[in-house]
Amino acid sequence: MVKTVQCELCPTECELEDYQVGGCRVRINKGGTLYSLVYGKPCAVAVDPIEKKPFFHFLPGTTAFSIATAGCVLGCKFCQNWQISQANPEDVDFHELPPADVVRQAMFAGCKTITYTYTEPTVFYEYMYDTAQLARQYGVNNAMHSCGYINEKPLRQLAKHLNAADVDLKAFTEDFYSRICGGRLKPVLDSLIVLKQEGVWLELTNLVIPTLNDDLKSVGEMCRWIVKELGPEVPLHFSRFFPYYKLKNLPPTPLETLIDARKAAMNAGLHYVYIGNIRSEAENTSCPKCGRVLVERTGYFVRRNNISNNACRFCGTKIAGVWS
Amino acid sequence: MKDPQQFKILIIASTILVILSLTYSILQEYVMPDVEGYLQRRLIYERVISKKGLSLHKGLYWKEKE
Repeated sequence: MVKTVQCELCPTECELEDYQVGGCRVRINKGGTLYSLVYGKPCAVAVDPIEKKPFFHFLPGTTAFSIATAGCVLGCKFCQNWQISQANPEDVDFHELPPADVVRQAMFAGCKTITYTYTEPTVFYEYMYDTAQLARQYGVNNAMHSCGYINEKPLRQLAKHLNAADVDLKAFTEDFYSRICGGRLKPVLDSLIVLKQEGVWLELTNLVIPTLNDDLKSVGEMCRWIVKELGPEVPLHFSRFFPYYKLKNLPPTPLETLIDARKAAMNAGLHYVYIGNIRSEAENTSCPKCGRVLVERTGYFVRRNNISNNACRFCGTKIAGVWS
Repeated sequence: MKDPQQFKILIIASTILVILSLTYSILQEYVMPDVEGYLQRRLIYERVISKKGLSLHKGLYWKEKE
């Protein structure tokens, strides 16, 4: 009888029988050994502005070589990339792109960063880890956009090669995570603290979904936790929801809701709060001291950058981030 | 049923029947789903996953490093 294998990558910790694939759809037990099915097989490869991830305080105006494989550790009903995140790897087309080729192509395309994004990079951990390790040797940065649903040990190991992380803090209640995402909130909060401790540049994204997580009391609570545990200088992006996947019955987030959420976050003490997925002035970075616009953006494009030597050009206040 | 020989045969036959029926129930309940599940998973791996060219790369473990 072949022994079962327990995957230790994410907090779900699937126990897999022989030939059984994990909940993430991309890790399999074969003959008592755990394997990844998607190593070197990204289903999405693109060169994007780093602002699209979104990173607003990490090398603005540069491009990122972005990769993703099929699969995800969660099953969010509002997923904006469900066609690949909720697909089996055998059901999507993929490229053969080993780590060395990812780094080579990123350098050839003039990208300063490789981003592990679109789906959940935790599921292609080994691929991401090897690529990140190699990229570092060639002076290319590594950044991931993740849901943060990963165990502490793998995250700490990966963080040694990560320059930046944008984590989706999807809501601030266990109920939302269990009902809408099929996960838990606590491990995500733990991951945020680990990333902070490991010195990885951190930005947060919160997709505001009408009726599900747009309660201002909960938003305020979340922001106060961020200020207390991660500091007031962590940028927070409130992102506009559009009806996708299993939540087609809900309307897009009204601009007023996003503005209110931003106000609540600023009142909680956060310095840099942005609104995404909709054009507004809340895409710009302003100096928390003098209030002047420092980075002016239109969508994913930087129009003006008034940050010099990591500080406001007008009043000299240090602006948190990685600017060059 | 006066013949003790016939009675003995009847008892043995009934016992065998009960044992067979119990074994069948246990197999049906516990063993068959495991075997069926295993065969199904193996078929999917060999006929779908493997044929798609999804090669295997060893996954990492962390607990054994403790």
